[in-house]
Amino acid sequence: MKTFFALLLFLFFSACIVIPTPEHRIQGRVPCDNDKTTFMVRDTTSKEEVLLNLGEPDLVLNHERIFVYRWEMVAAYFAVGGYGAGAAGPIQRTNFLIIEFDDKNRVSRHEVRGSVFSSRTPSVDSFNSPQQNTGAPPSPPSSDSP
Amino acid sequence: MRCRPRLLPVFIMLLMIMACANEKLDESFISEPFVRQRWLSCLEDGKTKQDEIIRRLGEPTSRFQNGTILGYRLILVEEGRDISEKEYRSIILTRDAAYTQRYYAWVNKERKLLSEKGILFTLRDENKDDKILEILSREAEYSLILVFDDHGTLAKHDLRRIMP
Repeated sequence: MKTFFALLLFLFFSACIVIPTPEHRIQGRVPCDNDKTTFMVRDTTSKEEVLLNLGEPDLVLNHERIFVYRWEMVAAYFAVGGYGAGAAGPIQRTNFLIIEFDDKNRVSRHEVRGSVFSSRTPSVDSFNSPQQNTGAPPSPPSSDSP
Repeated sequence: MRCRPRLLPVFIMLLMIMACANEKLDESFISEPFVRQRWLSCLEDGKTKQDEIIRRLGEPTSRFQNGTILGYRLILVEEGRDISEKEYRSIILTRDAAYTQRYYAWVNKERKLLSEKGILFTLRDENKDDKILEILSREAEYSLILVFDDHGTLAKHDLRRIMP
């Protein structure tokens, strides 16, 4: 049985290579990374300034309290070769810029998150501050814009 | 000596391929200043009214702060062209190859065509499904943010290219 599995593995993974590269963009949305967010100052920068500087967010949550910007960067390339077949392509890292606003429409928090393993938008709960998590349950997310 | 005439066309072809491969990506036709001047010259801070903008560009993609800020998600597409599924696949494959292999001649040609025959199409929830192939195969995408004063006059605006 072990030999069978070894042969099976040998058959399908006879050549597999991952080449890490400096993060770069091939296509897709312009990144909203830390370089682009230097203008943001906590309790000072307004929602208007954020919109004018970064454009429309990809997701609006909690009645305009949270904006999410999403973009993808290539973090590595993979190549897989078997007998008579092969494939290669980029491994993408999905990044999110999450901005939270206070009652006066000023930036109260912003954070960049990214993962190679998941392209799902982080849940609103995971972005709430520890105080918010221990307090009243967060209001349900609403996608007010596309 | 006999080989020379046969090799000449091959050599010329190689030179032509090399010339194509070396073509740089032309950003001028999709740059923000070009798009602003070509399609959005009607926007003037301190002058243009919100009604007029909505009449020209249609309903916005999103509204913020009780409608004092409007957001338009605009894609650059060829006017009056409905893309079939076959065409869509071909565009995606060609563009993918162009970007990954840095063969920009095709992309540049496409961009020039759009600068002549293109329109800015506003994305909304209502039209997303009908225009899904055009959206997915867009050459460029922009975000236009318009801020209005209390009288509904455009106070400031900004256009950002968000894709590619």
